[in-house]
Parts: sequence; C-alpha cells; structure tokens
Amino acid sequence: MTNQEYLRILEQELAGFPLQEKEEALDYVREYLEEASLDYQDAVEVLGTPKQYAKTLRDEMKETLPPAPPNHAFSTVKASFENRQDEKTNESMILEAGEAVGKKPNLIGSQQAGPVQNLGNSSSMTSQSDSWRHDENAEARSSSKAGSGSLYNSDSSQKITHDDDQIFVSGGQINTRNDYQNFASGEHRSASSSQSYTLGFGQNSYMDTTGFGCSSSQDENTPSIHQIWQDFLNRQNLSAEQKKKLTGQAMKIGVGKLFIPFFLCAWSLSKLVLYIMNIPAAFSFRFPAILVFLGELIGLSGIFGLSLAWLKVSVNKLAGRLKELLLLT
Amino acid sequence: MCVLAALSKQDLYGYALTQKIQEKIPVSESTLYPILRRLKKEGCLDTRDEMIDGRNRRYYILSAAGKDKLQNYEKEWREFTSSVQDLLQNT
Repeated sequence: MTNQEYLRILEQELAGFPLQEKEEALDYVREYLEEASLDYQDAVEVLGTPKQYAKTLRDEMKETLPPAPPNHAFSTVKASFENRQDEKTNESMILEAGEAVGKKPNLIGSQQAGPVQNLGNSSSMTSQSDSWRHDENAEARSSSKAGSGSLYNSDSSQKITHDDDQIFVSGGQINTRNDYQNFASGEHRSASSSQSYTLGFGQNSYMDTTGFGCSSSQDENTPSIHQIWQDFLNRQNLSAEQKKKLTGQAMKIGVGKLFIPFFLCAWSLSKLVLYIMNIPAAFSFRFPAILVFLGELIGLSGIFGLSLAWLKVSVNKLAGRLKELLLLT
Repeated sequence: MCVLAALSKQDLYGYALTQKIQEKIPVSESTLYPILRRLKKEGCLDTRDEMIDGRNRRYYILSAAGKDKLQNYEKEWREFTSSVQDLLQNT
C-alpha cells in the first residue's frame, strides 16, 4: 500500500470535518509523507493508523470548533434526497395537491421563516447523526435533479421558484448561512467562501416533530407538523374548503401507501390471535391435522412479520414524503 | 514553546520542523500538526507555500504575536526552571 492509500483512508476518517480544516490537515500529511518518503506502513509507524491520526485531530479540533448549532440551525437533507428511490418528487406532490384544489401552489418566493427543519428517514438520519454538512454544490444538483432538493430558510438568498414545467431551488442553501455565521467563528465563516463546509463531532441531528420512529433532537421552538401544515395552507391564500381538500389530498397520499400493508398486518394478526387461542385444543388434534395447524400458524406468523416490516417501511417513506411536502413550503 | 523557538531561527516546513525538534526532544509526529494548527489559529504563525520539485511545501513563519508569545514562554520557563533548580539545590 502506498502513502496515497494512507491519505485516502485518512480522508474518509476525516469525514465530517470542516472542509478547510480537512484539506489543510490532508495537505500537511501529504507533504509530510512525501518529504519523508514514507509508504503506508512507514506512515502507520510514524503517525499511527489513519484512524488514530484522525482521532488525534478530532480531539484537538473539538476544543476549537464552535459549539453545536443553535436550536433552529440548519441541517442537511442531501442524503435523504439522494437516497430517495421514489418516482414522485416532492415538487410534483405539491403540484399534484395544488391541482387537486384547482390552484397551482404559489411557490414563487415562498420561504418559510423561522426554524429550518431537517427531514429524512431514519436511516439517513442515522448516517447524519455524527455530522451535518453544507454543500453549496447542492444548488447544481437541486436544479438538475428533480427531488434532489434543498432545504429552505429565512435567508434572503434562498428562493424557490416555479416555472411552467419545473420547479427549481435557487440559492442552493441547505442551511441558513446567517445562522451559521452567527455561531461560527470568523475562521469558519471564511470556510463558507470555499464553497463547502462541514461541522460535526457527535452533534445530534435536528429535525421536526413528526418523528415516525426517527431519532431526533427536538427543540421546543420547533413547530409541530400540524403548525407547519397550517402555515403552509395559510400562505397559499386558499378558502376553507380548498384547505380541507388539500389536507385530504395529503392524507390520501398517505393512506394509499399504508392501506395494503396495514390491512395485511391487521388480517394476519387477527388470524394469528385466533390460532394462538386454539393451541390448547390443537394438542387433541390427530395427524395430519396437527401438522396443518402448525403450518398455518407458522405461515401466518410469517405473513404478519413481513406485513409489519412493510408497514414500517411505508410509514418511514410516508414520513419522509410528508416532511418534504411540508418543508418545501 | 519548542515549536515557536525552532521557528524563531528560521522558517520551516512540517517535516523539517519535526526533525529539528526531534533532534533535541522526543516528540510524536502526530502531535505536531495539531500544535501548528492551534498556533496558527492563535495568530502566532503565518504560512507561505513554495513549490519545490513540483511539490508544495508549506513553510511556517513566526509572526509578531508569536514572537511575543515566545518571549513570555521563555520568561516563564526561566522562572520555573530557576525555581526548580533552587528547590533541588536546597534539599
């Protein structure tokens, strides 16, 4: 293994570091390895393994990095959006919902003041739990890839515009730059000019109250999903009837997704309960009735387990969609 | 203090600085970068890049603030070692 391999692994281990910090550290190690003509094994002997070296840097940097972001600080949705496999985009969902009430959603310039929310399913949140990241390249992605999305905030640089055929997010900020700058030191502020920065080290993820099994670090100022939804409806300048219809549309999306797994789950559970109640009686069954009974019991258990898993996945997906739908406003 | 002292004589890049310090005291290579980083953040060090044989070398330069800090460190160190010396001689 070469020293390039060492650098490659070290770079991975430094994931979550502020970009500028990471690059400077990598430059230093690269220069050091080249000057000392160290290959991978030599580097391990001198500097320790990439993981150990990363830990040394992390311990050092913990003391000088700014504290965890404020309650309403920005967070990322990039991973969540990129991981999405759904065919429908959040934009199309809004359009769809808007059209259902005979009114195109007014997304032009609509920005949600106040707390910036995080969203995503539990798996993506887990992957982000140790760090959150801002990447201005998201702008390009969010413009070119439907559903890759971005988060919006009260930052004036953020605009969500709606064209005839497509909606795209300009400004590209996943986070609130102002918020960032408020808590970041001047040095980290300069990192924003280098197009990308990350902050991390054990900070919790920030997300809204919807939960759905996702771990969250809830802040009391974070509005509930109900409040967000009501705010969204109010901004659309809809009549009471239209609001009701739009809410129904959102519910419909959810119910449609959950109906089959929920039905299967409920059906198999009820059957399973009946079979379990009959277990004492089954001892009096003769061969092959006892085998049939056991087979059905096992089969029902399997169906119940699978449908429960399906339901859970559906709920998580729905949670992600609802969050996107709400937060895109 | 050792880093500041080494850089007070001449500007050095990471590897050379490590070698210079290791000539006198055993110091782990992995600890040097965090020290340099911290000193730079405190404004004690500046850097300049030079291309040598197609490779970049980042030289660390002692700033005015770094010189002041080194003076303070030296003063404290002398006081400390003097006190310890007195203690050793009187016991």
